[in-house]
Amino acid sequence: MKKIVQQWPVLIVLFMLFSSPSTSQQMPEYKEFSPLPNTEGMAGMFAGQSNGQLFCMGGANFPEKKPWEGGKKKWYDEIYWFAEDREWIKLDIKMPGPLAYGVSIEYKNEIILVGGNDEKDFHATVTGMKWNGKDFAYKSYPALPVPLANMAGALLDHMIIVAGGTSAFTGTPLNGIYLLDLEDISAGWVALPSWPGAGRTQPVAGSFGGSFYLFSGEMAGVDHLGKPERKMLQDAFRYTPAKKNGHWLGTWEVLPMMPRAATASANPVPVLADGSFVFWGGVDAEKALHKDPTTHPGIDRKIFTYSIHTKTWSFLGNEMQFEARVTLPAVRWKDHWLYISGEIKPGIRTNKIVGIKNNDTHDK
Amino acid sequence: MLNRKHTLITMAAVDFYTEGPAVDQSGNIYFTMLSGENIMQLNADGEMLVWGKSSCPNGQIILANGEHFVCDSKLGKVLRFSTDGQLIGAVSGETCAGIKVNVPNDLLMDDHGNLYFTDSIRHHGAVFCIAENGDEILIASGLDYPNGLVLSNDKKNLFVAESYQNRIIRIPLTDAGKPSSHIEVFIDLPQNPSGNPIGNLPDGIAMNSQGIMAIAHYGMAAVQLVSTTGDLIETIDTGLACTSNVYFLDDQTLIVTGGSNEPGPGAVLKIKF
Repeated sequence: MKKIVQQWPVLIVLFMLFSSPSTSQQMPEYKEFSPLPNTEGMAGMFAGQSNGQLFCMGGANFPEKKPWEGGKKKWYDEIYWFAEDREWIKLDIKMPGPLAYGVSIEYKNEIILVGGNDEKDFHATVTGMKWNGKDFAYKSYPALPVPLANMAGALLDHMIIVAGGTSAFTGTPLNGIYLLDLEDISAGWVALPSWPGAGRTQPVAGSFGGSFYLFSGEMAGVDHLGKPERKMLQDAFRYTPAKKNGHWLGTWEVLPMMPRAATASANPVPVLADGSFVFWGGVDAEKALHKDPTTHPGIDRKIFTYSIHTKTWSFLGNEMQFEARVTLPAVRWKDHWLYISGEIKPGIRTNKIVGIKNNDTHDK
Repeated sequence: MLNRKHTLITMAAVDFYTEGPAVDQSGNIYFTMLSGENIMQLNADGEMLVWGKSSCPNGQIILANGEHFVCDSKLGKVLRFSTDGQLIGAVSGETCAGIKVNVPNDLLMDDHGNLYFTDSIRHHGAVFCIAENGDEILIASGLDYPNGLVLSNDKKNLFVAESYQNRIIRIPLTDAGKPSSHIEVFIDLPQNPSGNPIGNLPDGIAMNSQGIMAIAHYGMAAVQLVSTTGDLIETIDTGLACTSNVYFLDDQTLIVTGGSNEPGPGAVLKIKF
């Protein structure tokens, strides 16, 4: 007598067994936009739209010497405006202070900066910035329960969700996940049940169809000799929140393993209208092993997508025109998702802004 | 190197690392679970069944009559299962061609009923053949963990993954079960920069009708595709750190076994390229 150990939804499994998985998905159409005037480029910027205008701001780089030459990282408070879709102009006005490596959210014409760090501290502050044509109006939101940077985050309907990260430069990768309902700000940040996986720094997140998705990230591991090594995570999760009797509940689903890790790739993960998350860049296990920054080959150029409908991962090809990158925001701008600056090798940034065509009609 | 589009579908996610992919004439997919001690069937109705049991089932083939031969790496034997998953007996004994068999790992049968299987141990591994007439033949010895194996489409070459040398060797056959004395390196595979000795172990191998060889690269989380001339065509990332074995459903579709660790968890993927 055979024992049935798993009964899957028949339709799903029939699809898996007998349908030809779609390999017809096309490579995203890449387009170069005007670069940032800061030719060094930035890692960990914030970006978003407010009142129909696109801005990016903050970030960090090594303006003089590279890290291996003894260079010192500098955090910025500069704001750039994508003027008339033609060029980025550095505004005279500044952010409240230098800040990088947090999460950017857009909601109701406001760019909301969540957490981040500067040269000295990690921050729990959450600040809204609304453009009035000449200046930004600032609004303070409830602070995060803990200081956070290098976390993932995304807007899910009217909720900000951030996950993972660290609370200090030498902090342990965290497994906390927090929600702020922008339609119920007085409730403040709520700690949600954590995903069924390891704590992590520099994961990436996205949202689609009422669910929050968390991918990849990095944790501390040990190598085969017992020495510490960076462990790149390839797991992926979906969280669908639900509110009952005033309490946030929800369920986590473990998704199929990623073909490669994409730690610190663009956040939020660009998602296309067909429900495909697009992964370009990020640190994988192989690149994480590279010891000498002066000979680093650069971030892997492979492009993968994850379809939320078929639960499949697809490799579409390599993007050879533009260098892949890490530690950067992605932002929707008209019919493109833009990749804002970022890091192309350890310690080296790019000021290039590139976009992929969205062909999108859905709202995030 | 080509970079063809490909899609990965997770067919099964299970508690144990998987091996031994095989497909029967009805399209049911089978895989083994080693430490899980199960031979599993994924059937067309969306059910995953325990089809058979063994101490440590590893490589697996399905014969034309529907019986399964399965390497049991713990018992040290190739086992025979009936069409309904009942253990019938052993195909191999404690020795083959007068040599002790330690860890049968993977196997194949040619069109004439000659069975080839590997004995996976470090430095002194061997490849055996039990001919259709019962003759026992030592095909190769002194190998550093021989693992997956496949015949060329013209049946003139036997390819064997020599895991701890991170390479595929080619053993020319003058006739079925008759190796030439000259063994060649077919391809040295990409290395894992970690330096971990188990970071780049070729495991199961398969070949499609065009002669393209697929190699499960354990430790590299990849399937390597290799041309008929021994050139690396493409590396397919699987996401399975311990990618263990491959089976061609058709020329562009692979069933891939393995897991993120041993003894588990494991998975079975379908990769369309």
